[in-house]
Amino acid sequence: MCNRKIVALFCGLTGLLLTACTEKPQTYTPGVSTAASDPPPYATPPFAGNRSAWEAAVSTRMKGQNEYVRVQ
Amino acid sequence: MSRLIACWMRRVGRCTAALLVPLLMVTAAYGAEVGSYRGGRIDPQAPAVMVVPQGHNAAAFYDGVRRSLYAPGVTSIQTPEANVLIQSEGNTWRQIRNGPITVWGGWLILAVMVAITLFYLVKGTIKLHEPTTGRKLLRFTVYERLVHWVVAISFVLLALTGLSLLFGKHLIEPIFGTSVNAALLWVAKNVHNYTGPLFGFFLVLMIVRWAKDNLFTSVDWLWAKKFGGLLSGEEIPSGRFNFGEKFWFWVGVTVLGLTITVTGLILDFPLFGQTRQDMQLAHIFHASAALFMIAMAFGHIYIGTIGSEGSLEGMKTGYVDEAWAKQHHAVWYQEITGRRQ
Amino acid sequence: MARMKFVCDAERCINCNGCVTACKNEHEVPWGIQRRRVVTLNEGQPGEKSISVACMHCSDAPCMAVCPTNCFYRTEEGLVLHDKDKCIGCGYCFYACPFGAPQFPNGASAFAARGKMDKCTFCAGGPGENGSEEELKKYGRNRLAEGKLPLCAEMCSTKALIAGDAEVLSDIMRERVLRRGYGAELWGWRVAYGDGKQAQRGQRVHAPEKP
Repeated sequence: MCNRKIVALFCGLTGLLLTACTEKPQTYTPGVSTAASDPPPYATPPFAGNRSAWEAAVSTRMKGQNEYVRVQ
Repeated sequence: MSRLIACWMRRVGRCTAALLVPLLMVTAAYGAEVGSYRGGRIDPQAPAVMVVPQGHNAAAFYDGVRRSLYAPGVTSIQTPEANVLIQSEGNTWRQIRNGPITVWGGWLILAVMVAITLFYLVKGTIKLHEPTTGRKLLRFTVYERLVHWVVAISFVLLALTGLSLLFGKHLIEPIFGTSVNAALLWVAKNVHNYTGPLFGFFLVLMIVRWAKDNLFTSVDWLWAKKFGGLLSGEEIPSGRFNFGEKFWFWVGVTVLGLTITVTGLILDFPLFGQTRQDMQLAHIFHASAALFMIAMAFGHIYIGTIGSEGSLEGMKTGYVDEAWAKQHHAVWYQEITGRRQ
Repeated sequence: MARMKFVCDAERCINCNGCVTACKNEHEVPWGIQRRRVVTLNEGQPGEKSISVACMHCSDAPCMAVCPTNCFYRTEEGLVLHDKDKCIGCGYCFYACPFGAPQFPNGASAFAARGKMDKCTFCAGGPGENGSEEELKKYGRNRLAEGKLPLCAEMCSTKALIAGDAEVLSDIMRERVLRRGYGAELWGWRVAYGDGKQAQRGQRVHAPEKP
């Protein structure tokens, strides 16, 4: 019969299955995005790519959550 | 609900202890961890309320909440289990699924494929010893063949889609990319969910139909002892079904098949108040049993097709040649023809 | 670079559900889905605590680990977002999540089939152009791209729920604890981001998956 083909098929599938041992670590690396097609928040207007402006804007808001600072 | 399931699962575990030892070891290892948490449920032993002293840090209290030691909270959100602040079982389930089930399951399938390929290369097809006579014996009725092929085709579909849901991330995605993998898996999930109940229904019909002929008899002892002569090449007499087929019928089809069906239905119809813990347990048993069944099915498919000359004919046409019957199922041949060999 | 987190100060939360309502309104979340919820523990007892909970954007996110299609991704700010075009509605993320964040709208389909998963985005939308109509429809408003923080935190009346960079949040909480003398718990942080220094660096929380 078509012994060769069957053996080749099995070997192929076996090889494919071996790639199942590729569990990748997915921990967060600061500052690295794994997005395929998501622009960073500072990419679009009103910041239009100005990262430091965006960081300053967000930082102001973050610190504004501390009302102890506000009453001083 | 989950108590019932747990009790039922224990029963299944006992029945198939021999085959499921590795599975049970895995579950036992993590079972202790799963068992120590009671997501969404009140532990009758634990205090329903733990008073948090004002003016102190309540680290112990929050640790208790995390481990679901206390009664769940109160919330105005009406979705199921919304009152459970945190459930730690989820990450245990994740470690079982991404760990043993994926890794050991993958190796199991791989090992079986390699073993069968090697066996085929060394031993080759089991040929008929005598030339075919042309006289045919009815082996499977139309009803039996219909039920078998519905189960078989749906099984292959379910196995392929199920395996792709487990391994697609590792096999399909690296080659074809996330979008192709996602599109394929969307199809796979729907095929799996709709084919599942059909498989379960016909599986039960098949078990009912063939249970009687699969009862063990004294003839089977010899077959089991000599492993069907698979290695020695001699032919061991057997009834309508030999010991190998009976083993596959009871362990593979009945125990594993029904485990997969019941847990599959729990997963497929999340309409009856199943908690996340119920789903996690159902998934662990579903995936483990399915991987074992797929591994066993390789053997069944092999011996039913290229492994043994003339076997497929019986399930295809319903009739087998007298020479085949005499060689493989001597007792059965004698029973239906009244002739001695 | 900011590592965005949420923290809910259980000493301050008064269970007003303002965050829940704000979120639902801001993102026009589908019927039957609450991206954020408030759970009260020990209700009516001394020491009653309320905590507002949503996706915590874990460092080693279980949802991400079990997703068969890898539809999750992580942004530079450490947010765990997902691509609804790749979601197949299998429900695995829902089983795995410690916080009950992923939810599924019930489609009109048979067998109670799940629709596309929906969860808190930290008001950062999803894939695609920031602030686009499509992003708004699928994921809600992208406030982060407008230089704003999640609305739930920004309009919290007692400032129990605060959002932003982990270090800023820690500073705010430290100051509070110093002033009131108790209630130092950063609720959920251990589960979401691990212990101590690990949490600061945003490293793996749970033991690595055993083979």
